[in-house]
Amino acid sequence: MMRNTNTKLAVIVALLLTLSGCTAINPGVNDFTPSAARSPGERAVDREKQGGPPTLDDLFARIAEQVPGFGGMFIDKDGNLAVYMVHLQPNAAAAVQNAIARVFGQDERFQRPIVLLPGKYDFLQLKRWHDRLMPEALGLDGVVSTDIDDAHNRLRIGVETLAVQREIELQLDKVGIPREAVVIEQTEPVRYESSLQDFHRPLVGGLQINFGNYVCTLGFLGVRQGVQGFVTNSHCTNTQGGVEGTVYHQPVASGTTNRVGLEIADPTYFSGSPCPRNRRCRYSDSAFVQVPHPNGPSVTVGQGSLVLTALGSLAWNGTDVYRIVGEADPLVGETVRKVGRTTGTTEGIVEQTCVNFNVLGTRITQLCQADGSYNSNSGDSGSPVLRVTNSPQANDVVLVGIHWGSGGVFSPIGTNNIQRATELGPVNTCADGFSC
Amino acid sequence: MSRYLFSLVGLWGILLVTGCFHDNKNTAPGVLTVTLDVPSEARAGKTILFQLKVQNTGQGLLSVTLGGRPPYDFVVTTQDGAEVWRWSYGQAIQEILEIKTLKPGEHLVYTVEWDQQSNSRQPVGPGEYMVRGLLNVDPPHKVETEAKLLRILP
Repeated sequence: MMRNTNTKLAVIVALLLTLSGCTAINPGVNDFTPSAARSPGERAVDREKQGGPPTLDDLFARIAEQVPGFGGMFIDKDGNLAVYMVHLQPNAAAAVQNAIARVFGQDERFQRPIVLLPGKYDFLQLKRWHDRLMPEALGLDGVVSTDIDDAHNRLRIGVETLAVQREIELQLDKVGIPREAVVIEQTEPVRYESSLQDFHRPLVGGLQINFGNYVCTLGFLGVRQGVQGFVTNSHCTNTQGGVEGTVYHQPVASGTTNRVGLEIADPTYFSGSPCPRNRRCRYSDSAFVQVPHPNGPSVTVGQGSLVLTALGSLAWNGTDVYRIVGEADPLVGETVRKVGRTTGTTEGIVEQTCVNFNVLGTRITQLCQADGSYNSNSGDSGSPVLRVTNSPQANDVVLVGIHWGSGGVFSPIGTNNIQRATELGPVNTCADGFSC
Repeated sequence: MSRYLFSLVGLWGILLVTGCFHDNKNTAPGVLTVTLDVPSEARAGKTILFQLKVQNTGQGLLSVTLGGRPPYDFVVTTQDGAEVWRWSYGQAIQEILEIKTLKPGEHLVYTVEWDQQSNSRQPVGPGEYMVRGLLNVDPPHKVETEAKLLRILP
């Protein structure tokens, strides 16, 4: 978790600085000598000459060069600085403290009580082994990570399955590392964490889309009058009501590279009965977008697929999806979910159906809408609203509508709303093998 | 609420300190300034205008994310903080995001009328009230103005 948070922070800071032009990339310095015969500490200096900062392992190696027998250190659960020493000599703590001050300066993290632990391996030895083993081990399929485990005075190798253990042991033999110096453990493979706001293909419901200076959410894929496309909100077009050929990108515009669609249906708002006086009305906040854009790259689509994330999460592995196997208008009391680019997957109860909503700051009235208690925020406009049925398979859902307004307001999917003849008309939204 | 404001101010502070909020041609930063204009007093029953001004008071371009359509709101409370009226109360706001670029000095002005009715559509009556303006920016952040005193006279 900490690694994740620190990594994100570092990426954000780096991004801010890079975007702003605040950083200058220092060209590499090429006057270093080959490092194969050098100590780990000396190689740390080489690494700095190459323009890269020394790693924590490099700095620990420098301490080990000054304090023979130093085996690594970590902060223990009581907040002490726990230091492994191969030989527990009387002056070891003072020697380590002095070496730390020389290597790290007055770093507050190390200014705490020292607890000496009996170690088996000198850090220089561990580092030499690790430097030798790492290229071989990470070259094996199924190996996730290699590390000098500071908290256990051992090397640690993470593997997806223990099936690869025998191959690792052969490598250990080959490079002369004792088996007992290495912990091999099963661990989850590391994947880049992406979100609904990132580039994804095929297109599926719930992803971020962009048009002009605006950001919304792709509702759901569908086929309308034989044309493949997707549904999003009418207010997520250049002009709400009426077709202006709004061009969409996923996740954001980048020339024509991320161009995915062209607005081709967005009925105009009408006045007159049953629309209130001085208002303009529709029965849904929906528009249909042709995919791909006629002047854009080819785009793959996940017909009948909606992003599946954990509740409250934006993170998405790019593969888990809900499968749309039917459509149904909402009923009060039903539990529904919405999946949007800002607040991810959220869940709530349908509280009202067939409610007429005036849209704040406009003369628009949306007739016969539904209202749920799920959380949402700006950018979630266009989100699919669904009901999980887990039938006939796990993660099968019924499509309920499309979200558009604060407080969980959405347009139902049925023939009184989105698929009404004067709205978008029939749209096939189901996954292959199902009809709806 | 203040947490969000501090977050935003903090981020802004970082950007200003590093001089990083600019376009490629102009190294000066953009600065977001949100101000509220409210009359200090009004007669009971009269319609009152509230105005929120969103301005780039910096020397460079300012890119600001506006959350929702409309992206602003106004809140009237009693002196002890109890909400009396909120412009968006019970209303549906379209949940779209807009990325707006403001040139130096460029501003947006949002104006609403308050008819001195409470959220439950009752006249609020004479007294002292506090008015605040809100600008929804990158969700879930909001910029909230300082509260201004409004006296409703008999």
